[in-house]
Amino acid sequence: MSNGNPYSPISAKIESVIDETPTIKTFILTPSEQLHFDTGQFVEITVPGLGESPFTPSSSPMIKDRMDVTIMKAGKVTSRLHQMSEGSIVGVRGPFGKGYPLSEFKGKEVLVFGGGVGLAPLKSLLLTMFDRLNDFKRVILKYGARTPADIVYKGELKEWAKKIEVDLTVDRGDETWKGKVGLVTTLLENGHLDTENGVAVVCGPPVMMKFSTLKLLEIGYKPSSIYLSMEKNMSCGIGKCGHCRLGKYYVCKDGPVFTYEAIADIPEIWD
Amino acid sequence: MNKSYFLKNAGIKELIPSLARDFKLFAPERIEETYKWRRVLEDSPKTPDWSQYRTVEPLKTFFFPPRYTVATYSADTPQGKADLDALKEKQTVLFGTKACDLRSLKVLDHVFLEGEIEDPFYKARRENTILIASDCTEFTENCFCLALGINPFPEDNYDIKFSVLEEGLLLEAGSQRGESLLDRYRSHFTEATASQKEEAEKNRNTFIDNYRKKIAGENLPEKDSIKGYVEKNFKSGIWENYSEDCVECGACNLVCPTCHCFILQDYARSGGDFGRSLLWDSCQYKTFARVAGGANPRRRLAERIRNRFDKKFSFFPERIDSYACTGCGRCTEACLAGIDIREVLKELASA
Repeated sequence: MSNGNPYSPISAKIESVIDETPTIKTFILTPSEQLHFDTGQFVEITVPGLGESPFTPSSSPMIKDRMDVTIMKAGKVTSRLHQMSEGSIVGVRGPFGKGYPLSEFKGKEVLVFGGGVGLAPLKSLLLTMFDRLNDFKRVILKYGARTPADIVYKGELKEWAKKIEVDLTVDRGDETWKGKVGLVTTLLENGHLDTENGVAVVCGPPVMMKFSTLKLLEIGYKPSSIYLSMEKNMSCGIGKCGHCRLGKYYVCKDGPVFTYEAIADIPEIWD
Repeated sequence: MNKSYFLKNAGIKELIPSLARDFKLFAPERIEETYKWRRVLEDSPKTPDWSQYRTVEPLKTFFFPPRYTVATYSADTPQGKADLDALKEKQTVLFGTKACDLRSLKVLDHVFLEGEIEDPFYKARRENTILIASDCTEFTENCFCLALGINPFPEDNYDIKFSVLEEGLLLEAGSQRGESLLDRYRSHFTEATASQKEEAEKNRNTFIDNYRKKIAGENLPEKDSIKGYVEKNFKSGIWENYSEDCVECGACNLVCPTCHCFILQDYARSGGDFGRSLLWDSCQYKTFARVAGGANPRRRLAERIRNRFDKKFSFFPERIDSYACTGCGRCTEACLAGIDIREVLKELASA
């Protein structure tokens, strides 16, 4: 926030751009002021003169002078961002909302469960947990993408596999793919997971979130142990503009991370 | 109890120019059957009309205007600032606010001032505005505040309240700020007599008796029962039926004293600079909840109509123990499709 005005962005320079997939890029940003965020909190990024969109940084909050944001080309703002390159200036507001409740994960098995570009916020969570892996009983990443070309963080995934168990699948393989083929939920079958005391942290497209939650419940996870990133149309970021209401909550202020237990009674949460 | 003062009719003609000189003064002006807020200048020849009922525009227009710039920035340094000084230059006095609009402040203050981050623009305008409120002496055909437990007299959130008597105005402070304002113009007032207070009380009683009869004839649901309606009727066909009439103009949101949703809109200014406007939005518009990927939790109009009632009669009661409806009837008045909020509530009650 700049000068006590919650609607005003600060500037950030695009240091570099990484092509992740044909529709997803990671932007390495250096904000003009340090932004202290908790893993899982989100920011609003401004394309000057065009407008803002909400994104959750994918970098570790321990890195103070830099922020990575992985962005899928989906609408007006993201299309313009995809045309921007090294040296361009964008605006940043935030951070907003509540991050992942890491203290609640302490001593437990943490299943990090992602789909598509949904791995972006989870990457920040993973990097944060890597600094204190001993705090957790076990950390597992299960991730699915539509095709091998749609997998983000290909290089990092290999590195992470040296630290934690990484389990990947694609909906449709190709001639080079030697891994698993099947929907991401198939990774939950016979997964030797501690459904009794462990937690599952889920982020992905709405339909993936829905079926993943149902599957997690089916295999025994408690509604209070399933953490969901409910990304709605967050705009002001401070619970005033009304766009991201979900039942009695504003996703921007009370979320974006909710336990399934907290929102299970709200009708039509997956729409 | 606060001291009451009397301002005789002849004294009003002297007080108003003083107020208009010292403040940005607004008072309702009667235009045919309606009242609209109008700026009163020092040399305005006319004494304000003492409005019988609320204005066409909701009070929020003074604290949360339909469109205003919240930031300006340039392409190389998108770093705006809040330009609040202009909002603090001269205090605004609103002479003739009504109870329904005072009640709306409970909702608006919660949205814009409470929580971790307050809205500096709303705060500056709200703090810089003195509310002089008055009794309703008539109701419009669409008024139903009484059915929601709101009396048509100023009861909270005002700085000064007044009642119109035959010979002048009976005034009483409701805040420290109101007290100071009365002190400032003390020479215009006399201390109110018992008979003047009785006259005001009698007028109130006569009016509220009439109003009660009107409300009784409308068979509206009991106010405390409304809270569960939307949940109970979530899958009801009622919303679908209303969606056949609604034309998605958003007028109900725009005239509502408690509707507060807005969008931020960036635009190019001259000289390579950019601005960010805050402008009113409507949850009845299809794009309201849509996200960039195309997902839309309220794609269908019926869902959006339901959302409006859900927010007013479930969300706010849960958050602040108050409906976000003050019974002002403006949405009914504004609706191009003739949808009457009272009829919707009655249908929900009987479903």
